[in-house]
Amino acid sequence: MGGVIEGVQPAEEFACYGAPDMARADPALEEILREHHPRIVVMLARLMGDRQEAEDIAGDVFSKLARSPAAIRRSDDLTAWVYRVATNAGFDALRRRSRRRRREEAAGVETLRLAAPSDALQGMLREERAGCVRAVLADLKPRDAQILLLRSSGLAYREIAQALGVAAGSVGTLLARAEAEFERRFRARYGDGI
Amino acid sequence: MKQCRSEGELRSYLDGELPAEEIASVGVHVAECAVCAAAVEALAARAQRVSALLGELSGAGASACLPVQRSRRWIATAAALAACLALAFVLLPKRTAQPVRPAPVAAGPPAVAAIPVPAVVQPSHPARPRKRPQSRKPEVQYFLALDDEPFEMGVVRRVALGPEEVLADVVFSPDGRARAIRLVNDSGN
Repeated sequence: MGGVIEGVQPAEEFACYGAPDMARADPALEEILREHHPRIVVMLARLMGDRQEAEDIAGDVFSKLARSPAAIRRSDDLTAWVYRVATNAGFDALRRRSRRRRREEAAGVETLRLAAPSDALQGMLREERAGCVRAVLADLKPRDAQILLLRSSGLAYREIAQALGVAAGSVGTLLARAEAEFERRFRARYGDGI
Repeated sequence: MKQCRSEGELRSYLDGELPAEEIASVGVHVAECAVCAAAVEALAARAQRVSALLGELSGAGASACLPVQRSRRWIATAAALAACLALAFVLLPKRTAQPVRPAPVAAGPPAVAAIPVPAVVQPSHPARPRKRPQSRKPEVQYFLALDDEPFEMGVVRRVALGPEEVLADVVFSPDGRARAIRLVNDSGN
């Protein structure tokens, strides 16, 4: 029976099946797509708090990259560049979400949300805290935000080094600095209740 | 004491991301260097706080990928080492003036110790000028476990603790953590 899955695969692996076919236009991009698309989706899901939205953004990024082979050839470290583009796309999506929410609030949609059952209030509070974290991440240098997201997504130093295009031996230093900067900015914005 | 470790090395050490031989080396250094020990503690605390905040993104609480467990174990180990040091000051007789002080760290290669302890110490000294009153049985010197986690193999390093340079044998497990300790008296046992 051809359609039966005979083995167990990590969920992330299945994300490859949803990856855009257009990446086949460039072998280098196709290679990155195969190896890094699942990790990029996990990183974006962490950032966005929504797996489906993360997959959409990653798909859009790879599709756009596949349509601009000149940009790909100009990049010295294609892998790091793809991660950077994906991270920026994630933050752009967050900004669009924020603008949409403000419009909804202005239109009174938020009032309907507040009238929802009590467990929804917990969800809203959690989402507000996550919004604070996202705001601070968006304030950081892209590489600092990336390393925090990648590490918090469970990537090993070797994988982070590959994604950032840096030596594995410098990941510890970059991570320590990014954590210090994140904490400093979080305290500056929201006080010492960290 | 070797040169202090960089922030990046200590952060990698917390995550267990250093090469195995480096983990052991950094572990030994951190155990004897107050500056680096404080830096590791500060890095671990900050990593935990940042991890908790980033955990809000998934709505699942603190992330599991940061070294909360490791840092807590390290703090417990450090506390146990400090307790042993305090015990050493109380129990060991005060040293009188000695012509030669022992080296802070044993010069010989580290020995691989089979655990469980205790280790039986054989009297391996050459003939001494002092006459012993009678033949002595080998002394059994027990290691004090620094935590209750079992381990099968480790490396024994002789270290000098504190400003008084109290000698102690410390067993490090393959992941670089100090797991057991015994104090060494002046005769070298």
